[in-house]
Amino acid sequence: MNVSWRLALLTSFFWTPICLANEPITEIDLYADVDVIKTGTRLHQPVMQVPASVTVIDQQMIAASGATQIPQLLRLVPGFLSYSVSGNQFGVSSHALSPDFPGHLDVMVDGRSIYQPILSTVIWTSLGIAVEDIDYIEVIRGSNTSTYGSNAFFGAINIVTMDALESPKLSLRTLYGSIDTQEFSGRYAGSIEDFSYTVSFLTQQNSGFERVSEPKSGPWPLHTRKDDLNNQQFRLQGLYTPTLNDEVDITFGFGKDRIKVPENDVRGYHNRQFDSNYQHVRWTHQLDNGDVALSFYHNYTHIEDDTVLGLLSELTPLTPATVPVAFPGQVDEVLLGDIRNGLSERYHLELQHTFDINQQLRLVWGTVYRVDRLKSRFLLGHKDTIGEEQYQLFGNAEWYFLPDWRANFSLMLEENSIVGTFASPRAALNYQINSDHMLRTSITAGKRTPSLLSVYQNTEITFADGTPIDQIIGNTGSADEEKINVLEVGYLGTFLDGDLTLDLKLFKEELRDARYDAEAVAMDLDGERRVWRNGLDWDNQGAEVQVRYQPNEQWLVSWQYAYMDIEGFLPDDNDPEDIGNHLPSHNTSLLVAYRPLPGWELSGVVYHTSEMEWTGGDEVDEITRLDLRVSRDLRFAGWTGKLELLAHNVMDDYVDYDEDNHFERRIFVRLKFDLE
Amino acid sequence: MRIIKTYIACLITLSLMLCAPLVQAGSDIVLLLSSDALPYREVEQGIRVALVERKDRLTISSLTLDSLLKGEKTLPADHRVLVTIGTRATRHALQENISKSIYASFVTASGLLREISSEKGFPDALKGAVVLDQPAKRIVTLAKLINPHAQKLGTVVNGSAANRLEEFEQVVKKEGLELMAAKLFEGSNPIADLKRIFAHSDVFLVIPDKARFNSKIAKWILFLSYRHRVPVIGYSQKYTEAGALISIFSTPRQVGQDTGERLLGYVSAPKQRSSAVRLQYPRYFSLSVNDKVAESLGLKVDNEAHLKERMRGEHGARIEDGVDLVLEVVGK
Repeated sequence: MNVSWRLALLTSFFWTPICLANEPITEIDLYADVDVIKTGTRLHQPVMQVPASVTVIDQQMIAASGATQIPQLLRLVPGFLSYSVSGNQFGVSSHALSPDFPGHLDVMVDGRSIYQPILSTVIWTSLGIAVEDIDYIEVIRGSNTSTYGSNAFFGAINIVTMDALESPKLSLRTLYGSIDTQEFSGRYAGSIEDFSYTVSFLTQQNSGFERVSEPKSGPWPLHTRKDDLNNQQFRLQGLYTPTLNDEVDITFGFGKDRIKVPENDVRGYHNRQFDSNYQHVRWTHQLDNGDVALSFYHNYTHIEDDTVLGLLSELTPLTPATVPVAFPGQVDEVLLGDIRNGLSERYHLELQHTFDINQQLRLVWGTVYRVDRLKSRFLLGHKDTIGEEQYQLFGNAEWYFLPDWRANFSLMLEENSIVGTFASPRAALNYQINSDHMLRTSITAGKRTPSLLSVYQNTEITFADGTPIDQIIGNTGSADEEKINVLEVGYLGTFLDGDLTLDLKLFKEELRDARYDAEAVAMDLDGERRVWRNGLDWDNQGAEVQVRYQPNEQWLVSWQYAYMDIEGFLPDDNDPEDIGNHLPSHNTSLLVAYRPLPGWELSGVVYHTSEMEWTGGDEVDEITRLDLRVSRDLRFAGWTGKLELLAHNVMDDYVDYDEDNHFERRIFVRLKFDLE
Repeated sequence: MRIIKTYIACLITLSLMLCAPLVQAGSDIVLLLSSDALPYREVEQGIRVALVERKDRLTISSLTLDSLLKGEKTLPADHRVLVTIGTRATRHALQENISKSIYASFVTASGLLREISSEKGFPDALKGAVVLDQPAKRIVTLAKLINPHAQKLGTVVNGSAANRLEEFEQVVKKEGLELMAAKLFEGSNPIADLKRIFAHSDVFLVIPDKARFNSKIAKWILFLSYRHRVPVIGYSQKYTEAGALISIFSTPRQVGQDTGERLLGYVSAPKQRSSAVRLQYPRYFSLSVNDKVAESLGLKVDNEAHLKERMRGEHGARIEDGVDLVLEVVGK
């Protein structure tokens, strides 16, 4: 790609003629869809026409789930794992391994990717939104690199928040309960002239896990957990529609969240603080044929991490007396493992053009320019800021080539300084048997640029003056793209006049050349270190089922199930590790909500995960968790409200991800008031 | 590579399944479908069922416009009526003058008007039509039923649906109500206009326009409906599912059934040349209620069957029959 070619792409958008025709209305206009899915292909498509498996978690499911944190909601997606790395550090993965910092899903809030380059993951406490701010969550289950690029390697999640016009005028919510939970959030919706806006805030506090599974001894024993959270977020969301054909959406936000994360058995816990801000502007212009959208966003996060590892003599066989012998000129001192003054930043500029070529062919295409920057003395081994420029050119053609047959062809071209230029295509075929039943199949050849951290990480423990002591993890100086080939066959059907929907998917995935940190020899204190490299392969195959039954307004039943068979080994010269148990064979959830009387709702969710070994955590037995909820609507003096009693995990305690994460029963009371 | 090979094999098998023999026969009534898509086939099905149920000895055949254009099928020369299903088929039949007796179905009134107001003058071949639009009278009756205290009804239209505004204004006035309407143009601020309408309306009526406009404006309408607690009457099942309190519409099958029944009358007594063509509203219609929206708006709405019963009771057979548009053809 050269510069002139990119400029041609950008400028071509502005040459599109813009006019509004007074065309006659046809039958197609009257029967067109109003509810649509967009994350699958970037085209507005009814669920029946999306060339991928889609899960939509709507407000009814969100409320019935009793979830108090956003990652919990993703347990309602077939094949998705949501786990607690520690009390307030969460991970979400799908079809992939489960490290402390999972990064193979593209998570977006209103279309803004919230991936943090510095940790190669999503910081769920920094989203800036509360559960109550969500309108719905759209999840594409399966590789979506052909639409959203590298990060959508195993799927894409778009969290859509309530619009400025949709929100009540004033909304206040509070949550109190177990683990010293105190939350308060509010949202005000107003307008200035023709500009509609909401301002919202969120404060959260809790003390994390109550205790460890097995108390440990030591100078700072971990009998009592201290992985607490203190979070404050502020957000402004606005909407301006200057003309019938123009819409401008803006979102600004900032926040500060501090979590404590477990350090080691010696030192206990340390603070990790994220100071973040973001700005997102999107302008959509309706054309006579299609629309054009220009969007820009910027995410900024500053990280302070005050990890104190301990005295060198505590961490190694060295004694205070032998330290100067091993390291001439040095004395025993407290070692730091911090990310002090860490920086993580993303700039994203995107143009997208959607139009119909004819009645049978629709096209969306666009281009992205993105810059990721990060800085961390501890993680990179130097004080400089590193950056990566990425260019993307994407397109999706929807071809209605025969009555009831639709083909979708997607292509994403990416270019960056790490792996050069590569392509991620997808071909999909949907056959609409009739208005209630659809069959689909697709094949995807996705590629992913390795995370910046896995390419440039060079972490070592040093004395305060920078003298190296021990290399922890480094890189080989080169990186290749990760690859995934996916074959999917799906069925989507509605029964009982639409009361029951069934979504079935069979899949086979081949993942090749994934990055992993391999053991390596080092000329340092312990003679070893880990090195990021490509070479991890595995195969997944399995099935996912999603059933939703809503016979009336009193009942809602939603069942999700995934069967997964993973085959692969973590390469190691001496002892390759079988990762066949790094995904659960069976993962299911069942949500039931019932309204016995007007204003009352009873709901419960059962989650079951078969035994597995968390990649970054421990081997755990099968987990069964039951959450219950009772809700009562309230009304007085122009206010409407809801009082909820939530019980999380009312059955036996279980180990969540790490043997130290002992999940006990938690009880919460949530009170919400809206003023219309 | 194994996945790709398996995939290609499946695709080839699937392609072979698509090849099917094409059949053609002469008949009294020929149905010309705009395409082979499901809604057109459902209209066809409705027509066939209506004709079969009456046990008439009419022979019926059908073909799609594409098969006609590609020469895969031909129009039987001895047919008595050509029923065009959908805008595309109707446009082709009228423009190319392929039949002496055309009956249009599953088109909108504005779409048909556009076709017959072409430079060639009014096509003599057009003998009648069943349009998709719901009569204003029917919609206003429904509005009064879901909110008996309603005084003001609101709506917005874009360029394409603006010609229906007058019809609504007349009906609303006859019912002793007031219509709050705004015409949205390219330079309009849609939210500002909608806010103004919603602030003064008791029920909001969605008059369907071009899909692009409908889809864009639906979001704002439904948001403001919730904010102002004003019920919305939509025009399709999908509009109800998206958040309208209720929608009123005719399904393709209902349009087909109505067309079939009217065809019987026409075939048994074909009209002579006259100065008017009847564009008939669909006799049969459906209602769909969104109970969740009703609850959030604090409204108690009868179920669909009961509502239709009440519409009949209060306004007699006219609600079922609709009120036909009689198109006076200039220069005919």
